[in-house]
Amino acid sequence: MIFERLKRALARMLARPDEHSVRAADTDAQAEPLSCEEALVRIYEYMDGELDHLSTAQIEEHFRVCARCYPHLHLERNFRVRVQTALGRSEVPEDLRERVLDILARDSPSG
Amino acid sequence: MSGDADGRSGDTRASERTTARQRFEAEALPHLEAVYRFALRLAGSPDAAEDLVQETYLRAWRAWAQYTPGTRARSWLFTICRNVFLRSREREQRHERVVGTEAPRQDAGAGGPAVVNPVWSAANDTDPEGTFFAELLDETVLEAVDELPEEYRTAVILSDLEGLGYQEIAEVMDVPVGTVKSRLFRGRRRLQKRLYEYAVEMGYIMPRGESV
Repeated sequence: MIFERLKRALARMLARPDEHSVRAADTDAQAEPLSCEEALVRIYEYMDGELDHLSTAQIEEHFRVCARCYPHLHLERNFRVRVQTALGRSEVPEDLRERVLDILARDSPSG
Repeated sequence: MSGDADGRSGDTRASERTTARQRFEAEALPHLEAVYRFALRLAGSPDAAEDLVQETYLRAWRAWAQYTPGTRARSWLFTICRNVFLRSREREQRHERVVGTEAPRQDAGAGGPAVVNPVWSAANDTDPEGTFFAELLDETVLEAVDELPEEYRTAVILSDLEGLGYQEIAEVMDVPVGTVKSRLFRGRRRLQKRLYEYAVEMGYIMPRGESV
């Protein structure tokens, strides 16, 4: 599930400018260009997929055209991927399931 | 619970319990690994995490009658796990820094966290895309995660590892969505800063202002 969401977010972030321009989103985005501040303050909401269509388009447009902000989107992505990988690699004890089942089995209803 | 006051035999109750148990296992057990990984970051050690997971599932099983089937068992288990952890922490009287339910800052000025990420500024000259993150060891990253106050750590884990949306995280943590946004923003910034510091220590990136 997390990888699906990550793939969607990466696809949005890495979509080529040409693909953007043929979509209706481009009209939305050009209507109200964001400042750097406005884009940056919502960057995590954007990466988390929590923004509405218009806001998403506006932020994507800003990172597409702003040479100063664009590299930092990659930094945020690299950060996120590193954290996710580290968190996901923790090994789960092999007998944990057995121990949980055992505890449940021994939990008899009291009178 | 009295004996046969409701007219049902002990056998019937036992078989009802078995059916309920099977449903519980079918719905709750698939999330065991996710609950363990969450517990590990809360409790800090594999042994403590195992205890926490067992306690979580035991309480979940006992509260199974109150759970509506099909409504995000995973979030429900995270909620129970976190609450069990917080209660045990209170009992042991550990005093972590409490972050609280600060109101979200819509305007980034006025004393809130800097809009421009300080790590971006620091890395801008030598590594603006943050390739240094990839050099860090897993254990370093996890150490930095575990240094976060629990409120930030839980929000970041539920989002980054488990992919929960803001509304779901808000329900698990029993706070408004605005607070979740704020905790994620501040938690990620703080984590990034810590990882940047580790990267400088390890020589994966030159600190800002120093020449090679």
